[in-house]
Amino acid sequence: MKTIQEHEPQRAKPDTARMNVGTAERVGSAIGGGALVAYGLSRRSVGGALLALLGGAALYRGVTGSCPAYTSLGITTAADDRPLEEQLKERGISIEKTITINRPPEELYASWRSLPALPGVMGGLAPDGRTGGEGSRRLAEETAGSRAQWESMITEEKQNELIGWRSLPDADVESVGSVRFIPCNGGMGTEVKVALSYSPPAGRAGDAVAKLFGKDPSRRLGEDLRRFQQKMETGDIVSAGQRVSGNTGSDAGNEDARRFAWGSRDSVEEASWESFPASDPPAW
Amino acid sequence: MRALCWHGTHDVRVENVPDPQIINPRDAIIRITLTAICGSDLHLYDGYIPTMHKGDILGHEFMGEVVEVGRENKSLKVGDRVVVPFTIACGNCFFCNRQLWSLCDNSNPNAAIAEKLYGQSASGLFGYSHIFGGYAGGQAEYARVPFADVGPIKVPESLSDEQVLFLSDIFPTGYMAAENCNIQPGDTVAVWGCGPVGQFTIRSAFMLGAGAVIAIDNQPERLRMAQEAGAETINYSEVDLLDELKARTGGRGPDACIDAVGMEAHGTTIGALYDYAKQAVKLETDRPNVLRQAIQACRKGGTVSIPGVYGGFIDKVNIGAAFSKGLTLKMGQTHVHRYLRPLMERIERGDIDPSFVITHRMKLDDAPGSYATFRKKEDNCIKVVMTP
Repeated sequence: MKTIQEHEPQRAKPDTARMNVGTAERVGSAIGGGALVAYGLSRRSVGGALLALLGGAALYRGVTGSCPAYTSLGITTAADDRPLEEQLKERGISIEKTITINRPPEELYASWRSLPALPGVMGGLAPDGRTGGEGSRRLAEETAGSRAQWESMITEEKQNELIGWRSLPDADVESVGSVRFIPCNGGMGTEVKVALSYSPPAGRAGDAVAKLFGKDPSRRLGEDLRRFQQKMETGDIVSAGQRVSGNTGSDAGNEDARRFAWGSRDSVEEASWESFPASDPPAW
Repeated sequence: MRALCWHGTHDVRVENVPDPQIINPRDAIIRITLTAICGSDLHLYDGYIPTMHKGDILGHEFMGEVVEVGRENKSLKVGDRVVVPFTIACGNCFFCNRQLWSLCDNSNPNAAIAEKLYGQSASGLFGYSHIFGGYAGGQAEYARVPFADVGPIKVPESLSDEQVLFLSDIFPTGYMAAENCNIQPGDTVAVWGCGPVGQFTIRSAFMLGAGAVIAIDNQPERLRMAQEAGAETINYSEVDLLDELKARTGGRGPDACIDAVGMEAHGTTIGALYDYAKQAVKLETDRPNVLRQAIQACRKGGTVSIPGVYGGFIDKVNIGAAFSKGLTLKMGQTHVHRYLRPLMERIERGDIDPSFVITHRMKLDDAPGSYATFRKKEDNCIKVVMTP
């Protein structure tokens, strides 16, 4: 399977040209449509002409397999057998992030490969690259409450350069992704480029994935990469620790402490806007 | 332990809080022996820095004795006496390797917030809001120091706490401000603001070869302290500042102008009043009056150096003047780590005794009163140090 970044960004094919009508339905649509055209034309009246037009539309969707009404309603009764990354590009969410890490590609590649994976990036991935392991458990913990099963397999590897993966067929989250390690000029570190497409499922598992990625999946990926950088450069993930709060004894203080527990970044960001003294921040 | 906690604008309290603990293996815990209130703490006190939260421990100038070290910290041991840089730096990243310590990639756990505000995140800072990491500060009995194997510098027995404390921030900050001016022998350097950073800037400018330093303020005791360092002085409330600067520099303007004031500049010009009004209705975060004057006054091809802290947006700054005069603008948080050793040597050699700037010696329990005194510049207050 090819990995995402080997494709030039493609424009989605025009909607009208895409097959979204199943085979049996196409046959019925073509036969019924043809009959309507013949009957309508034989009536030689305004009503007959309208019937012929309607029949023509049915005949068209039967022959081409493409229904404009289905398209506008987002319905498809045709099986989609295109590669997963192409499908996800259309109906999923695609994100890409690059970070520069001050370590050589070999080291980053080896660590990325041996880690139980970054749960927000690769889902669960065991060292053998086949089944969920530690990573899945971490994923499950992070999405405590509603459980998203999400395991990936490695689909492509180039030593010290590239790892590509995709979700296993029975995963709740369909995803494909890749990471590339590109040495910087002059040997000063490595560019780490991650491309990721995923399609959140509906229902409880969908809620779990939404929780995992937050409102801004790109930012979540950025945070995962930043932690990878910290781990690789400094040996650990730096933390300001549990926020120390004065003994005010008030509920507000406790609430604040909870909000600032490590990991709850959304509330920190919220607070930054609440307390920013400019009334109308610029549009960046 | 006892610590000074922020609770809102002009509301700081000394409270009992849990003792800090080792979190990362390169950490150390310091028992603080001397700590100070910085002018930039007043920006927090006055409510101008976003992402402050009730209970945050303030303070980023502190020193003390190591009482605990993480398992991977090989450079400190219990009992070491150290000064701690206010910028937190990992020592491993691209920026630390280039001596740009205050721009460390890895020390701000809340980098995502800073990226939203500034595009990229600088290093984490002690006790300076959640944009800069949300680390507990050093106006306390104890502090946890991350990356303590690269930051803290050991202090020779021969030097007192008061002599070395300011290596944590204001001495390197003043020194870097002067160094940023690329001072040539005999240059004239104008320094706006004769607070503690201004005082160190004046002395550093002389160390780096300035022929004359013109110190600008409106507080007599601060101008007096500047005079003691050999500076000429201007009380900006008594004269037309820009005319006066021209008159004293042969009509050419100072070779370098240093804004050691920052976002809360006072002033009597139309521009200053405009800033007060806009800041009051929150249309502007910073009052850049000094920066405007520095750009206007600086000679063609000169340098404007900005050690004073800015946090956000400024208005009516004449970038056209800076452009047409070909000025160099230099600014940023101090790369403290870079200056620790050379400046420690200067103190040991007796080139300077940084304790000159201390006007008030207090206990930590007196901190709330000291903030008020320092802010209002009452009692000729220039620099407060506190013992826990």
